[in-house]
Amino acid sequence: MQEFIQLTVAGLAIGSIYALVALGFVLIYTTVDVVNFAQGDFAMIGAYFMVTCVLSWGLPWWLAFVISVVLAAIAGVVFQLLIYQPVKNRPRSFVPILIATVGASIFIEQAYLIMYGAVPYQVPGMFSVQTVSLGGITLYSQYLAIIVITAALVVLLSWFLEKTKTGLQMQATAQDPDTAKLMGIHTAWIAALVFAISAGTGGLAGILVAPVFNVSISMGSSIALKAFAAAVVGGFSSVRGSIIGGLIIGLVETYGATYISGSYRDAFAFIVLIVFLVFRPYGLFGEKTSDKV
Amino acid sequence: MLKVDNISASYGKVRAITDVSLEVREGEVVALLGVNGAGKSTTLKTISGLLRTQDGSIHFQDERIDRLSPEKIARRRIVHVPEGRRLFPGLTVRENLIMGTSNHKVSKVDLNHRLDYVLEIFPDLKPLYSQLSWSLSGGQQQMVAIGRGLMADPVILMLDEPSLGLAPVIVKQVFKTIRDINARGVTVLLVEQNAHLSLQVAHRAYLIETGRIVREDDADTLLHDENLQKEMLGAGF
Ligand SMILES: Nc1ncnc2c1ncn2[C@@H]1O[C@H](COP(=O)(O)OP(=O)(O)O)[C@@H](O)[C@H]1O
Ligand SMILES: [Mg+2]
Repeated sequence: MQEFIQLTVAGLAIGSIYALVALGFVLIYTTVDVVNFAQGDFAMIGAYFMVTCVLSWGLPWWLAFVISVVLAAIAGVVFQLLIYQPVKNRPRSFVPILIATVGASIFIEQAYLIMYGAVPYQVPGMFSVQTVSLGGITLYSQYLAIIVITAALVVLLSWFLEKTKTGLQMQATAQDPDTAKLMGIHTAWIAALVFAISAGTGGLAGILVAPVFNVSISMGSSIALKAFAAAVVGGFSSVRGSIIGGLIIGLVETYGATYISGSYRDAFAFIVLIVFLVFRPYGLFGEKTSDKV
Repeated sequence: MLKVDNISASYGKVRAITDVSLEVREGEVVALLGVNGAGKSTTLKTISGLLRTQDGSIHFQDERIDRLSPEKIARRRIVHVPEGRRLFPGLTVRENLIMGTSNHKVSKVDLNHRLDYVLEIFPDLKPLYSQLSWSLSGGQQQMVAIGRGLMADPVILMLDEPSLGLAPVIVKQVFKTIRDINARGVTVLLVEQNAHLSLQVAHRAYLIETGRIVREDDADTLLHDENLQKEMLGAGF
């Protein structure tokens, strides 16, 4: 029982990481109709900002955390200016944008390889103590931090999307961009905001997972693949779907690695992905939007 | 107030309107009438900036606006209620109405005033306030679409076929509303196929055929023109 609870907490924590990146995929996809293949790189970028803030500048964790999330969000705005805006008006822009994001991903990873080298970095977690004991069960404190911070972010983001005028304008732009423009909504500004939020949540994922996985050039793409599966499971259309998709992938992977086989750890997400693509291509909550996926 | 001079516009290589000129003066209801595919919606889209003009110019209150983005044009209180209502389906009625105010800054007090104003014109919307807009009937959706346009505090309201696909009783109601809105000081450019009802609320009208304006006249004159009745047969007479 103790082991099961520990595994569940670990699964929810890693699932939260996937969920945060999946959220970025989904927000960008629903609002500006782009599947951003560089989404995982925002996680990597966030984690490396953390490396610089904590290891090079010696900033306290909280300050480094805030700075790194903000810088990741700014990186998202720069990304959309350089990658999305120049190609968005091309005829059949779906393909050019897709190629642009794949190219950008390769470029970003190579640039970080040159800047930081191939040796992974270790960064500290939120708490100096590694484990806490809850009701006699020993749990990793970072896992709990991941779950709590993700939950808080989801509440905040849902409030923003559903209760603020800007959030509603984001939804309106997603639902009908031309009519949004007619209403006076500045859709280019909304696109920038969406990339900022997506990159910020992606960066947050990288920062939170850094103490667990270490920070490396390839961390972004491996998270992104799982997060993509999570987004598909969730229907590629909503905050709720992304979160539940992420948690499902995280739990399946963690239980599978322990109870079935550890060496197939990475395969479980893809089994879930394939099962969904075959039997329920529009995900748990989506409409039939998977033709673009 | 709104002056369109010799504009042309295309979709790709396909010319949709040619040399269209029209004028709307303050306080008027002007109708732009024509059959399906004549170029009415295209004309509105060029005015609101969704489509670029290829020739000619558009002036609004003596400012040239045909190179401005749709957002900037909306900020000048030129409000386009598009064909087919185009509500934001996943937002509630109230949220759709609020989106109408995206073209200007509103205080909470002003927002509530405007919402009350729209409810005064469309009391039927009150019980539907928190329903998602995709679940409404066509007539209800049209009320929300016009209401959303009014939320924008329009100087000129451009309505694209507001009666399309609605039951006859509802159509009468929509035209009555247009008259009410105009009586409250809003200038209206009304695009319609239903010439008969449109000419009853309009002061003047333009007829458009295969992308060209073929006639301009007082609504009364057109209403009693038998040739026109023959020409536009099947288009609402
Ligand atoms: N999105 C579009 N792409 C290509 N052609 C279009 C498009 N919209 C309209 N057209 C063409 O432009 C012409 C004018 O259309 P439109 O302005 O929609 O007419 P109306 O509103 O009077 O029915 C028609 O021949 C129509 O086929
Ligand atoms: Mg039309």
